[in-house]
Amino acid sequence: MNRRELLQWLSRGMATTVAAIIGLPGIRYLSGSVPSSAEPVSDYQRLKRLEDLPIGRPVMIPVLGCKRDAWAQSDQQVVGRVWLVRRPATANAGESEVQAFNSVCPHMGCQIQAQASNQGFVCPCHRAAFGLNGQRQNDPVSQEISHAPRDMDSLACRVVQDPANGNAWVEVQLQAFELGSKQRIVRS
Amino acid sequence: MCALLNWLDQRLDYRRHIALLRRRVLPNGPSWWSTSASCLMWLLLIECITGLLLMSTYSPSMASAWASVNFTDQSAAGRFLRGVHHYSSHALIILFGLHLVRVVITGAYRAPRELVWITGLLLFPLILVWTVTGNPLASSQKGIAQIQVEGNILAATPFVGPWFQRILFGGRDIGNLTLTRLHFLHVGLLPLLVGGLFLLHLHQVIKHSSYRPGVAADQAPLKPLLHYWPYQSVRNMTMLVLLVGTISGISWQWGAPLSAPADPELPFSPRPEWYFRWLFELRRHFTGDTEFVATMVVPAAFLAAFMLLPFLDRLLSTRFDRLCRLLVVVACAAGWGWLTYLSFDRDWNDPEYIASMVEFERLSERARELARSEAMPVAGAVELLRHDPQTQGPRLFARHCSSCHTMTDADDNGMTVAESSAPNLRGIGTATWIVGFFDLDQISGKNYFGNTAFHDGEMKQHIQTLFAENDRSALQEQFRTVAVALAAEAGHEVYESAEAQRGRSLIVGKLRCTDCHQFHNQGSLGSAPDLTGYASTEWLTGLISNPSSRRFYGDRNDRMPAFAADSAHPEFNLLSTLELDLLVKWLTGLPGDSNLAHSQKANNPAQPPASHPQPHEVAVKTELQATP
Ligand code: FES
Repeated sequence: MNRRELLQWLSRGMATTVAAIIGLPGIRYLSGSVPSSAEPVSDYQRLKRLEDLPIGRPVMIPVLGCKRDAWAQSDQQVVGRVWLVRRPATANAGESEVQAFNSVCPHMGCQIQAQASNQGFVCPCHRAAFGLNGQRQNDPVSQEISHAPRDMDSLACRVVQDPANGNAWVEVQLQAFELGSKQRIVRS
Repeated sequence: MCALLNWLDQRLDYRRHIALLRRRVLPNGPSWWSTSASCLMWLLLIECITGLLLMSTYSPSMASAWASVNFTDQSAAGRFLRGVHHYSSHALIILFGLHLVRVVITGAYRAPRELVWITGLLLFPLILVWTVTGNPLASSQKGIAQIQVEGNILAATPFVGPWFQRILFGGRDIGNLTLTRLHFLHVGLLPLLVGGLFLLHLHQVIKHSSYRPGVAADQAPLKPLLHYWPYQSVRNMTMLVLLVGTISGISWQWGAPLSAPADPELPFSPRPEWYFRWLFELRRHFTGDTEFVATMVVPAAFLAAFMLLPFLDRLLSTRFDRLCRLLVVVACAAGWGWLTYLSFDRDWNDPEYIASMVEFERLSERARELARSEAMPVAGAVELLRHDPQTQGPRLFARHCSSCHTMTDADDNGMTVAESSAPNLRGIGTATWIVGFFDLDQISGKNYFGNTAFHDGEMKQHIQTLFAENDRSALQEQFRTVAVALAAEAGHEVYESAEAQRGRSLIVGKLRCTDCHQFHNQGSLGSAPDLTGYASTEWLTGLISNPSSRRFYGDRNDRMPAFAADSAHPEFNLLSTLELDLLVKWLTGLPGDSNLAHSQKANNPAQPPASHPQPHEVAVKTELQATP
């Protein structure tokens, strides 16, 4: 390597260094981890009195919590929505009387709606249909295969008796799951 | 002046460059077809200028984006500029498509112009992405729902998808950072990329264009060669004027659309813009694991195939090449058009979709109306519709009341129930509504007590007795007066009018209402609902909260649930404080008790204070207690 080549390489090296000093933090900055917008709710949350739930008709309940959106943080915000389906009391004794589902469509994340007949659910975005038990179904009209990669995401749900006033409460553990995957993967 | 220009020219040599551009000739002479390129360039410039102007008002955050865009729309010039910015982007895409078609048909991408073609082709997806990043900036329901799905499509790209989505959204979910990122892309990064690519494109166009007389001369020896300036330029400008004229006409007339502020509560079925409809249709045929074929592989394959066109083109025999190119264009256009048509056709034939769109358009109109008449809430435009009785009332009524109550006019229009088991609430508290209670047929009809436990109750019997004891027409006149007096309790009639005064004395006097009802300081509670403040917002709030309280029906309450009886746990009540307030305001059509309370206090100090609960935004959620 002669002197000329050395100087050429030196110049290139220094230019690259300067580019890296600015560029790497830039990429890091854009892709860096941003605090997740909703605090993961791990506890059971009390949502509804059992007696207030109609039997066999799905009801959507917003779940409130503390929401963080970049620099803004606010309490009492809707952090998720659950669909509650109360089954007739005669249903299998071992099962919970109420089933809860996350309202987020496992396909692309639209809000799942109740079908007009209340006999199931349908997602308005790509018409994925689900039964009252959250199972995937073909499109009720065109019989097309569902776009949903999996059934609706059911959530842990329990009915607790309040000894103080005899009320039965429906409590649900809200969780978010990865979209688009066949398995339920809890979003971290 | 001339001296200054000369001085400049000596240093910049600009006249020579301009002359080169002007003296260019087109191989086939000037033509209308060739105007597309120039129009595209000027439209791009218009987009940049209008965009820059709009930037002076826009504020990218969830709380302010919609409000700031709406604010822009409120000045005539702002509305016009936003319209031009919006419609030009659509025009740009259409024109770009036509431009590509022209280039393919004429084979203008051939050597040595491959780079002209490739840079131009790359500009197309970039411009599409540019519009994609612009649409959600207003943080309207439509834009946000679109970017949500688009982001999730991006996330479905193998390997790098989730990472890209994180960069785009600034996190896992749409929020403040999503808007700042989109803004950054829309006004920062993409203009730089498009600008750079465009300059390269322009450089290649000019370098390989036919301004060199030699090239043109041997291609068109028979025609006289006309210079670009002014023969092509005048055509370019004519097209541009037509185009901009149309765009500005549309913008002036309608402005750019602005749908309701984004709110997951709103019913909405997101659809992509028209230029992506073909992919939306295509993906219907790819479910599950193959989905990314439609969203990623197909568009990428098309782009790659077109980029290679100058090289593939050489393989074709020269005899049929023009025909082949034509076939390619027709096939692509037909495929695109067919898929697009299918997609729109499906939606137009879906009554559910149409209904949801109509409803959504109504809500958007209402949101804009509220934004004009009300102060913008600090928490953002999303609060406008959430606190609007006219929007929330019917929904709350449908969800909570309409399984028993109807709300229909005389022609049975409105909310009906298969089996109504409670009074029709249309016009509740007004004199016309109240007077129905004093009519024997009506009180036991379906609109009043007919389907309730009171269909043959003491109220009806009392009316019967009164009719038996009195002259019929005189009594009816008195009943009307009483109805006016009761309607005045809620503020539907003027409280101080002579008629209302007479009605009030009839209630406590001749008609003996206070035998059962309480009315101000006469009568007592316990056997019939309180008539003080009858059907006012405060009274209705009390009744709906707990109809079985002593002030209303007590233990004679017939099946009506208590919607907000639990003051210790308001969050678990069937209706939150806010919902109850909205419902009552909508039912009565009264703005609130404030005006009424004022007028009553002035003239009648004995009135009970019209205290009505302040709307709370969200019920307070207490910590979990008493879990076994
Ligand atoms: S997002 Fe629900 S079907 Fe696509």
